[in-house]
Amino acid sequence: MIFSRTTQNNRNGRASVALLLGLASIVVVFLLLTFSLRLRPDARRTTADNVQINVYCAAGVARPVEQLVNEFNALMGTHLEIVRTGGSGELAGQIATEFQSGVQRGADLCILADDLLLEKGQNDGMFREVFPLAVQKPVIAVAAGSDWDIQSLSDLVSRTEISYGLTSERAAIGKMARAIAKRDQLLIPLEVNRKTDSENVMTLAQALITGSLDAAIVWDTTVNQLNQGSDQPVLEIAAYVDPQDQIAGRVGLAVLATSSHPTLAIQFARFMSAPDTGGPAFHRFGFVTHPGDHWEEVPEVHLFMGSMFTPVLEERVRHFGERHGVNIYSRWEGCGKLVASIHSINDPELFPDAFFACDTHFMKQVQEYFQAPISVSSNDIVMAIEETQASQIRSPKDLLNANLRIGLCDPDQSALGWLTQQLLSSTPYQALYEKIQEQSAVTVDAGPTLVSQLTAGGLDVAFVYRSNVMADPHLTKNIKIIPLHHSRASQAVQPWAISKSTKNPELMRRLFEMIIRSDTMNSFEKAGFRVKATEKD
Amino acid sequence: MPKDRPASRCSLGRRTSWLFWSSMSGLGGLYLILILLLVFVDFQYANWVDIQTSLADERVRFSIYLSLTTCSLAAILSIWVAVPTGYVLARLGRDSIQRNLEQRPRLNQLAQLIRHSVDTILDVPIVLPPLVVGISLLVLFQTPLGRALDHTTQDFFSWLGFPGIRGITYEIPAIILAQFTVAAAFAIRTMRNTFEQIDERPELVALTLGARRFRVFYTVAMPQAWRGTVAAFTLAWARSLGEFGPILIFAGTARMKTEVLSTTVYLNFQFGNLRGAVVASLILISVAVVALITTRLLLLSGYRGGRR
Repeated sequence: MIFSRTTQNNRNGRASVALLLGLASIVVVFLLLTFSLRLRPDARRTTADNVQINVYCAAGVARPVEQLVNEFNALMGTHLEIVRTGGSGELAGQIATEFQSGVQRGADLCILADDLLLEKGQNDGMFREVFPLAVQKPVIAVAAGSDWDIQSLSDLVSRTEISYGLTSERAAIGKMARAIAKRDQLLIPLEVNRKTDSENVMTLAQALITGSLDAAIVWDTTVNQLNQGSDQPVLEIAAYVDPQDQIAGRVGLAVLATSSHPTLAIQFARFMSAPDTGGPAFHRFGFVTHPGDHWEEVPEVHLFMGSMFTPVLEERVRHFGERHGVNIYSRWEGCGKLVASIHSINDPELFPDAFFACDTHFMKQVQEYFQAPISVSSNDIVMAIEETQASQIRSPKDLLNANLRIGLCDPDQSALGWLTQQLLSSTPYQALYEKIQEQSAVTVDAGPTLVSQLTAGGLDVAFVYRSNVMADPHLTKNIKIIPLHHSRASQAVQPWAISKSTKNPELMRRLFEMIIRSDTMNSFEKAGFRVKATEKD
Repeated sequence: MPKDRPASRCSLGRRTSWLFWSSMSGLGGLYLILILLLVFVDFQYANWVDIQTSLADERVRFSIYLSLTTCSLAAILSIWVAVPTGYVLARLGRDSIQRNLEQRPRLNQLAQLIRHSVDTILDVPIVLPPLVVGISLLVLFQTPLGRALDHTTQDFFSWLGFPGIRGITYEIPAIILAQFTVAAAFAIRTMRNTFEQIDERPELVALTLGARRFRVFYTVAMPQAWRGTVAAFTLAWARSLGEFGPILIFAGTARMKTEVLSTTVYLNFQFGNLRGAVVASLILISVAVVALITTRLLLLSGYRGGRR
């Protein structure tokens, strides 16, 4: 008993120490956690400005991107952060994993040095917008002051005494070097004689600096970046891998479809691609930049769109403006009116940045102001007739004997009117147009107006585009479409063209990309258009 | 001749003894030289001015402070888990199960199987590639449970006055969790070995004298296990300091946000700043060495004080 008491007394003391330590550790954990959170400069920022854009960046482009992220944050008071760097393939792989597993706080945008990966990501639905940024060339680099005299890729792979490395195919540079070697039938010696294949170009360049390799295939910009980071040059270019410059690495920025703040991400993308903001940073590190639009916090663009597109595009254009943080002023009117406006506009600020015409006839009238047009769709002219009257009408000739209220479009103010005039003046309808025009109840400047009047009961029949009727499913119930079996009835082709004087050609190019995206084109087809342009255009 | 035998045996013994120790230490010595060379070349590559410049850099200081705090947190959390788990595994070992379930062979087998399975699962983070731990954590936090936890944590941090910390994923807590996940496995293994080496008899005696299990644990077992606890803490701390793969995936590598020392090394390397990467490595080595020496000194003082 005495022994046990003594032992118990002694151990009581120790026990309290152990317990106290346990309790103290809880306090320490809380204090350490608070301290670690306080370390974050932005930990106390309010929820109102708690917006963060996560950037994944290819290692070879990280330096100019880091500079631009800092400049953008300073300018806009935003919280962009490069949260991940690595090889382009490595990053694309992680983004795919995040996309598939539904990670909420993954990347908002990524910068990859491989345009094929960007294209694939876009096709897979991971990337919504892609901005081309810069071009870089694969080179054979050696340590500065090195004695190796390497003239070409074939020279490199044929000299077994040279210890060289290239990245794996997961990195853009590795893929590109292999493509060039394959073209020049050097792929086998290139693979056999290489000493290493690292995951990204920076790892390879570092191996070159430390002397682990004699030569390496890296980007020309990698050499520039590393030389600028040191007091004296550490690397030099021995030869270009593709002297013909046929194959080059294209750096691009992609905004992810899952981004929770796409507008801010796109704004940064515009900042990066702008020649006045992003350009200097890229040039500093030897990149050849892709000319983007000049930087404006909120660009302003004017669109002239034929009225036939209103049901399909009006909402989408509005969404585009919201997503891109752009003020879009669009006019949806008959093309004749739009053309007249284009001719009469004196203020360059009000001149349309792009024109989407209902027919090439009107585009030709203002072609001098626009770049080469692209045909997007075509459409048929049809007779839309109130259902109860449909039984007595088979062709336009039947209209002459029926006492019907006919609606036409003005041939001077709209493409539809002009095409209707052409149609009804040609064989087999010779001179029919004048007679119908005499009988017509109204002549308006746009097809949708005729459809509205038809629906309201003000007209019995109207010459309109098929899309004017099909755009609204409710209309097709009460209005019957009578097709006109004539080659001129399907002549309306809708061209898109960007203004030569626009300050935002890239923005307009992206708007066009949205228009020819498969989902938009599906809507075009549902609305009665025939699609002519594809995403490849 | 017979008279010479003891002298020659002694001489032979000395010679073989020298040969024995030198050959046995040879390989270890080579490894020691390798470690010293690694540190030496790092110091050769970066000079004192580089180190001073780096230490003056706000970003490097941030990563040092963040590394120290997150490692300490991960190590403490590891100890919280490792001490009870290690004790359970040690005291409910094969012999204990055998002893208690001797009369019930089937139950005995089942208990042994469960015990082995638990033991194996707890060792999984040790053998898993670090990136897998990161990916698994990332995926875990995309499940409804993970998202709920993420949101709850965000609310908690807002309540604490840190609305800028948006939950766990890609934030500082992600670093701690990633470090803890791996470090705890090492700590558990250490604590299990510690308790296995402590004689169970004093605990049994205390039990027979009427003490309750909890009391026996913290009055008899824990005081004897303090050296093992320190060792487990050090191991967990050091493991956390060197952790990188899970942090890369689960916490990201954002400067001044989730940047710990290993991330600084990686970022500098990725940005083509080899000198910066080497300096950050040296800081990492220095911090680790200081921590190890401190722990050793603590343990030695324990010995000198006559404590176990």
